[in-house]
Amino acid sequence: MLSSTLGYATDNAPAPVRVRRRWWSAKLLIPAAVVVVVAIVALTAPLISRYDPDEINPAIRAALPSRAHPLGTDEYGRDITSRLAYGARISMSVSVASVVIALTAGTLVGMSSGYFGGSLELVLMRLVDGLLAFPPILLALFVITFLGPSLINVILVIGLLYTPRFARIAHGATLAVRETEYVMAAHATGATHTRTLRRAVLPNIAAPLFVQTSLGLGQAMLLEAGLSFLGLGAPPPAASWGRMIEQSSRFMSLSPWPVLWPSVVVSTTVLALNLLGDAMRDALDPRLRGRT
Amino acid sequence: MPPRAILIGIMLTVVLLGVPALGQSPQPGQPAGSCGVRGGVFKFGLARDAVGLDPHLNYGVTSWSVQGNVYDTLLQYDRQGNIGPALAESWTQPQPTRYVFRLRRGVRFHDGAPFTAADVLYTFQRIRDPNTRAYRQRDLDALEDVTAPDPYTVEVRLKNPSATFLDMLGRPEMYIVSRRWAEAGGDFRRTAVGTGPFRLTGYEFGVRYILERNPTAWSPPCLDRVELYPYQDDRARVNALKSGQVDMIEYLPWQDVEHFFREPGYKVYRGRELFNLVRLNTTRPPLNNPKVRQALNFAVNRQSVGIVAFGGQAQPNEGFLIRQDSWAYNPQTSRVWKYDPERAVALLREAGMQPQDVRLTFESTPLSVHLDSAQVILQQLRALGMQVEFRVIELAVLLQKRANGDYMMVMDGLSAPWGDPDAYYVYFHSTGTQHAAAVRFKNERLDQLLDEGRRAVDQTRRKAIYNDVERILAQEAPWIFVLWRPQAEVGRNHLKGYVRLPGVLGTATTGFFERLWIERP
Repeated sequence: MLSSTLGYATDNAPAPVRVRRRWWSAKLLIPAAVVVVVAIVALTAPLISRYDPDEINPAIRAALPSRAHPLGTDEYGRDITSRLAYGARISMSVSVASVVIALTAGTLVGMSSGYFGGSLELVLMRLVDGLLAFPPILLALFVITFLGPSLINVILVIGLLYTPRFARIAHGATLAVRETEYVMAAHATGATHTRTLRRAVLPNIAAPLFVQTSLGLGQAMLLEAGLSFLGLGAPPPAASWGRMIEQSSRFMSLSPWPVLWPSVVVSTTVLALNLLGDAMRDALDPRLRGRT
Repeated sequence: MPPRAILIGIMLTVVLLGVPALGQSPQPGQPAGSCGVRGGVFKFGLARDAVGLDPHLNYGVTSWSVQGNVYDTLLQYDRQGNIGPALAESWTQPQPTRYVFRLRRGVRFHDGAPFTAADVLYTFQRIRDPNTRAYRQRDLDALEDVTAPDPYTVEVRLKNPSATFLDMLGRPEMYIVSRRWAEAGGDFRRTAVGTGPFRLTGYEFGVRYILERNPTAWSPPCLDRVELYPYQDDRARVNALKSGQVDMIEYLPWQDVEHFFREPGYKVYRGRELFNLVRLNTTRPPLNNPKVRQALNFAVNRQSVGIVAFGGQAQPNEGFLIRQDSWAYNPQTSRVWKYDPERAVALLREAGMQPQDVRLTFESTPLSVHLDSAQVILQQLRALGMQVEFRVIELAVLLQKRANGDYMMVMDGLSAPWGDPDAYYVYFHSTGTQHAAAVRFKNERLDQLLDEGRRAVDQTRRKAIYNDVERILAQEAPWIFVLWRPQAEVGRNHLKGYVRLPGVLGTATTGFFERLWIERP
């Protein structure tokens, strides 16, 4: 029996702890804001760019930042700010498109192998493991050398490379969900496999896939920049961030700024995507629920 | 220390320091080609990998760096750029169409076989054989007959006189090969057995080539060994030099020229013998209309290309191949392309098109010496409203496309085969494989003029002929000549004897490593 230390009378039952699960936090909002800004820039690039990103102007090569050109010009006299904006389009479109491919294909593969099991699972998951074991850049180099450098090929290759990650997550989550009441109930009511998968399994494996999407976006963007740097991405004069870095690195003796700006932008965006993924995982992880 | 010991110490030090100094610096009166200092290993950074080593098929600056030192030609250029003896010790020309060459005796191939006239005959035969797909195959159509009256004499009879026949014999694509080795099944593409100052003793395509001194060569080198390393990436190549992995590199990017000029311990060698151009396929619409081709020529601002792509170190080429210092230069015909976008649009209208109707595919390799220019030109054409699709292709693919004409517009860089305007023959005569023939370009009057120019001897007459050639080229505009591009090598100071051959021959300089020596202070 607890003796009350308070001076006034209370009932002895402890007050209910009301836990407000606050999903928003600085940890999540700041990276999210960065990503949103980049996405907006990507969408509105033609509207917000003052100059044509491909307009070559020999008279103002490698100019320092000024009123007319906020981040200066590159070695061709092209406005860096405009090129970064158009570069955002390429980076965003490649990462979004490839992650959508990876998400769709990976979820299909992982979910079906987890749900149906048996030899399907055996075969599919071994394939997934095999693909996962390949060093990403090497595989990308290999494929692009055969297919030729173009935006579509880059999207396909990166999509292919990240499918295993999504497949593994979907597979694991499906295995966990397979034995739950939702699925058993669906079976009991005579639902078809497709219906079960769609209505009972999919919503319950969505959370980790969601997290992986954000992480995948960051990784895809980095891989795209790397491939562009190696000359395997969208062909010039496309203003891909990776290609901007590669071209300007040859002229570093003239001016280091044209290398610096796209490098900062790539790093910041990829970092934001990674932090966003981490924060989302924290927010969605059931074990961490209840902690603010 | 006792004074005597100090004295002995000083004397020993002087002697030890003095001895290596003896026999070091060459006497001023030494004839060119003799060695200042014997011995040493020289490491050279190549800009690309040799596609193959076949001396008749695989040409280009990089291949020559290996081939030029392993093989010899009948004649070769001296330091002043004059054609002189090599495997042929002397020659006479009893008639305009007849040459008699006296071959050098006692020369052996690297496998020990003696060099005789039979090898020269075999070489010509191999080049003329269509199966070899030799670069100079059609050029040797000019030969009427080649005979060997004795093992050390070769007689050549031409169908017509040729002002540049001797120059051609000095060309890298005319290396003399061993008949015995070839008939025994030697693999020309992957290995090399010649009479040259170096033997190819080791190689790994894409990684390194090892050339070792051939002590029994007729022109023995000073160096013991040359190692060639390909570095395709500009930065990797420059860094290899800076870090000491190599002693010298070719294709020094223009961005780094200034730096190495100022840096003590290095020497920069420069020339402008290569020219950038855009090949146009005259059979593919809309490029089959000469007015469209002319329009493209007027649409390109060559000054801008030179400034952006080569930092102003290139010389814009508003004409063709005859430069201002040539005897054949005529300001009215040798310089015609001014930057004039209005004229370009007007010409398109004459051809019945608006700029927006012009659909082109433009390709370039990713090499900076091509890609940078291509990007500027691409932008200039698009700025006029033309629909140009741009694609990047590998160097090996470019070489293939040259040969089979499978392109619409492609960026390219070439060096003229010889300083004489007869070079136009190679590029624009309808029989020129790799050039006109590949895209089935043919202008009858042009062919006639080129044949005449090659046969004529009188310089005034030839000048008139080549000025007419240029008038036709201004109408036909089969290429867009863009600029003369800066070409530079840079090496450490201790490397001596590297003197760039003058004029258009500059790129062949790396085929003469026997003239180099290392002199460390």
